[in-house]
Amino acid sequence: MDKELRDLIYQTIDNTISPSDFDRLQDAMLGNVELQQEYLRAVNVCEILSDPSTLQSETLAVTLPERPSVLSRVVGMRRTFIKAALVAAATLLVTLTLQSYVGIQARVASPIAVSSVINQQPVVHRGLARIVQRVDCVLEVEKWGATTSEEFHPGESIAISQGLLAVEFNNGVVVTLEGPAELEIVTAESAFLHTGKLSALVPESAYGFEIITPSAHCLADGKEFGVSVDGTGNTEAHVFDGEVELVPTRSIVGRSNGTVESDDRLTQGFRMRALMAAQVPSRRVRLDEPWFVTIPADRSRFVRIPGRDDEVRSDIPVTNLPLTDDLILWFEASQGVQRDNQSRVISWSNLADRSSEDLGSQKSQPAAWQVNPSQRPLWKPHTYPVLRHPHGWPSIQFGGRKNEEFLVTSPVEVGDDFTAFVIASLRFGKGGTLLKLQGQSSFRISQTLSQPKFVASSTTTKNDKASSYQRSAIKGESNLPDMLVLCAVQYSHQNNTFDLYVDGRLQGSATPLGSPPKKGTHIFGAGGSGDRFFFSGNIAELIVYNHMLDAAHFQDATDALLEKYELSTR
Amino acid sequence: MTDPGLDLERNQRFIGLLARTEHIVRRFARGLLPGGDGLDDVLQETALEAWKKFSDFESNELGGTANDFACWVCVIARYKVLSYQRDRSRDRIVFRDELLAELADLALGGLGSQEDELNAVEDCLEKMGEKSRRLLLSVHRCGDSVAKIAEETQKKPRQLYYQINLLRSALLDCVRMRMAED
Repeated sequence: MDKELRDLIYQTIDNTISPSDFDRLQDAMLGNVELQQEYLRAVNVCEILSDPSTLQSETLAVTLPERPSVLSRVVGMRRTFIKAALVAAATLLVTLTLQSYVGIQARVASPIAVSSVINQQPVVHRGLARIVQRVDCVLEVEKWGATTSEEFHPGESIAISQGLLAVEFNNGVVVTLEGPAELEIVTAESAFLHTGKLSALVPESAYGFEIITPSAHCLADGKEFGVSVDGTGNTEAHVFDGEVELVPTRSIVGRSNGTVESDDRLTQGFRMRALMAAQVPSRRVRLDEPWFVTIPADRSRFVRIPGRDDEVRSDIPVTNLPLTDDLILWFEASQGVQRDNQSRVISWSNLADRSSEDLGSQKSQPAAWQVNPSQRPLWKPHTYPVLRHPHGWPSIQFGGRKNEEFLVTSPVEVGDDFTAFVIASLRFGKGGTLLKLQGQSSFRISQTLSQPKFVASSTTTKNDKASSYQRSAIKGESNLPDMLVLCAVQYSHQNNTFDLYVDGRLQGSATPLGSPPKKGTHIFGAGGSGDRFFFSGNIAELIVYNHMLDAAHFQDATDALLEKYELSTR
Repeated sequence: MTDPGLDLERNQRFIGLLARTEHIVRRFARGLLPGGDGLDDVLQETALEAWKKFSDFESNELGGTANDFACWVCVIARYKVLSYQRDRSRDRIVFRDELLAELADLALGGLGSQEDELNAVEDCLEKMGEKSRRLLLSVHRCGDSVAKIAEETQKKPRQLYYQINLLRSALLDCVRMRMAED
């Protein structure tokens, strides 16, 4: 018996079958006496199981735990109904009895729909999942001008052609979808990955969450796992934290090279522990071929949205900043760098979010991202050794115009009052933009082409006409190439301050331009999309406060950075 | 004017036959109604129609045993199902008429084996381990549930759901083998 069809039969009995699956079952049943018999037998057996009065065996009767007295009463009533009916004499009584016959039947236990068993949580009359973060993401429907709902309901599909999309289910599961991919929301606790890659972060309360693919069910019994499905339905499941039970789908169990088989070994799941992975082919070539093959788990193959409660993945202490309030960007190359298998940076966690006051809020992490593998900068663990750190500090290396590497943050609001610090090294003869803050106006820290000099510049529209703008810039002194340097900018339109510092020394001042605060994405390593000013050099740390620090705090922060990177001793 | 004594006897006979065969009719109708939607409505309509036409059954031509009565009521039920599904085909999952007819014919032909099937189910359930049996019965009966068992066994409901379908399949295979042996 084809297990796929048998599953459809169970779904029909449980009243959980979809219209399309029901059509498939009907197509298969029409003219197929064997399948019709199987269906009728399944119905009969389930009816027998549903009716406690039919099973006479004492062994079976004692298996159930104490039943509510209501059920015993109902069953008892059903039997006494027959005796009472025998002494009924009038047609009216017959009619009444017939009506009560039906009523009693309705009260006898009936099969509980599987969905009602599984979904123990109250029904929530809104979407089952919602978008919590988009990174350079294009949804397929938006290509045609259609607007996308931020919430998804059962049966709705999420198709992205590129980028990352993080979707949070109501039970707290966060699925990060990596384009191109298509994910269908099935229930509050399951989703069908038709194609593409995803990673899932599962809180303990949501264990049992399931990703279904054309060839396997991945049941989460742990915190983190990744699943990929290629164009032919082959599945890979990787477990990173906790356990996942892998169960073949009916199409794998039931068919092998066109033949139908029944093998109990196939119906047993494969329980994968942390750092295990398995491939499940969409079709097996030979009958004796295993339905899965174990492979090494590879975390770098799966992108995930860094969680708010993520542990810092480095023992290296973060910079001892004198003030961590009101930070909007704080990136250290030793902390929270998610890399691919080429050590290229997928995402860089924003430590500012960790230090902010609203830790309990659910807002997403404004990390910096690069979803395009060919434009990811390189993370280097040991660069620029200093006396106290002979192995050097980690830094992120940007390849300049040739490689066009950069990172982009999620939108963060920035105005005309801020302080920025960048610990970076420059290359000789390679101009480019290290940092671009994009608010109402744009602010850049760049390197000149001719010399390894820092340039801080601000540009804003002069009036409502976009073609008319103001620019204010400061060029610093020449620095030694390929050495870490601290570049700092104090900027305040209100206080009429626009100062550029290198290694704590003032390089020059200019007139700040005023602009109201505005949310924007901020770019590390380039001046913008399509920009030619790709930075060539390394960035070890980058800090932006959402106000201009007072002189004391600015000095303290400068000293902390100079001391950490031993810049004042050279 | 009818004799009250004869009416009483006739009513008793009808109720007795109905009581002895109701589980057969119920399973027959359940097989034709995917998901069991409308089963109670159909059974009620069937019983009332059977009562109205009981005089037809009482004629010698239709026989008089409980099995004959079950077969006769199932034929009524078949048309009640058809009628019910036609009324509701737009908003419910229902079998196509052609398939419904094939299923009804097959089910009518198998009415006589229902007792054997029941015995086979009992035997096969007894062979099953108690934990598996309880899990299997949990989705079909009040007083127990997959959620409750999941809590007791520290397993996830969805995992148990897969086990339930495996147990169902094992039970069906066992029943089929037992029926074939008999």
